[in-house]
Amino acid sequence: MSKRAGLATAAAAGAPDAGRAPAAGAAVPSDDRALVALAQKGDRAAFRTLFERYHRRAYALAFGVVRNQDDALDVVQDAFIKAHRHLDKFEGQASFYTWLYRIVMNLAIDHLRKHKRQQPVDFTDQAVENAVSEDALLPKIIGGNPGRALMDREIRERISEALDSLSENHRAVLVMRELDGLSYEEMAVVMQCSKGTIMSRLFHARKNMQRQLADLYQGPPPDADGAAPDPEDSPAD
Amino acid sequence: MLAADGEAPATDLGPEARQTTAAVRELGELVRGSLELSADDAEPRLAGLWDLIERRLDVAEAPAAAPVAAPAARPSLGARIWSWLAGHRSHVATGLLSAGAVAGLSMALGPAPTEKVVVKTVTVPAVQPTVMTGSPPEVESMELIGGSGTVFTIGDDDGDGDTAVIWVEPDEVDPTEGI
Repeated sequence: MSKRAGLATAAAAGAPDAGRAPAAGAAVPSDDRALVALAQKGDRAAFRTLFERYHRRAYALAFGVVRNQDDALDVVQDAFIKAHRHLDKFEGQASFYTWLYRIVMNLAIDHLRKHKRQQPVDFTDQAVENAVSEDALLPKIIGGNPGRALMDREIRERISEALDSLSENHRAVLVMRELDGLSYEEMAVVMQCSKGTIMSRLFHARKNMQRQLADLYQGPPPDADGAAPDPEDSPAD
Repeated sequence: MLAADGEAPATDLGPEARQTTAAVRELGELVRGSLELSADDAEPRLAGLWDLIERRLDVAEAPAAAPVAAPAARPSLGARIWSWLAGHRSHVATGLLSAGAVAGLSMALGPAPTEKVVVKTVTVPAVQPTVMTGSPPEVESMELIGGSGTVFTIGDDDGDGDTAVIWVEPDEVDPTEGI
């Protein structure tokens, strides 16, 4: 599965949900900056195009953090309302999605804090940073074909449970990294912490995920470069 | 991990490091795929999300588009009564006409006004009844020219003498000429 490529394609196309695109025939620019400029002048259709372009990614991000559909929808809704309200302050130094991304992430973390659903951090960030060099991630894979693995309902539920078991900070970093490929530096800015803290959180998030999914792992792949093995060997089958 | 995340060049990696990199990438695909499938699950509700957002945007923009006018002062009691009367003009007019008609009929067909009666309370002193203790009076008739008379003779109580009263009545005159 290459969802990242899929997301990028959808974002470039500008309308992931073609059926819900704004008024047919209206000349809607495909460039985010042009859309933002129009939206800043009160063009509701332009803002809707931005919504259509990014609401799904925003939802996946919010859901990855809050782990509840209702809460994630609330976060996305609030994020777009907030973005619209402060659109005049958006100067275009970053991309619209990066700006929206921060709004969504901040709202998601605020939501967790307000509802006190976050789990206690397993260990201090300093301890985690020290542990990064002492431990290592498992050099094992489930089957080399994540897309096929996710077709298995049980595996999908196990992954979901593993995400649920992570602490708020670990999950947020893992989601940011895996869903949108943010760099350590970008994540540090969003989380308002040091780059080292991001590294330690990401390391232990992955480590905990692997621990939760340990029984699904098999030995090292036959191809050390990570090439997909024979699908028949996948435990998802 | 740095290499798997693109934070360091993925060169000169040993076999185990390459395997770790592959495992990290696979885990990332699983997490990303899981979240994408969650978005698929929420698609029906995501489809209605714009309507909710637009409604909230409309509400938020409404005050700016149409500033709320200052609330009108509360009308006085007289103004409210006048307003009510204006609103029920036909009913009020009908009522007044009916009342006038009834009053007119009452004046035309009712009893005439009576004289003024003044009631006075008069105190009358008590009178002792007279008791005749002497002899009873004597009554005698006598004929007179042109009339007749009656004589009452009443003896005094103390016996000193009698009192006589003569009552004369003239004869009736016939008004007829010649009689």
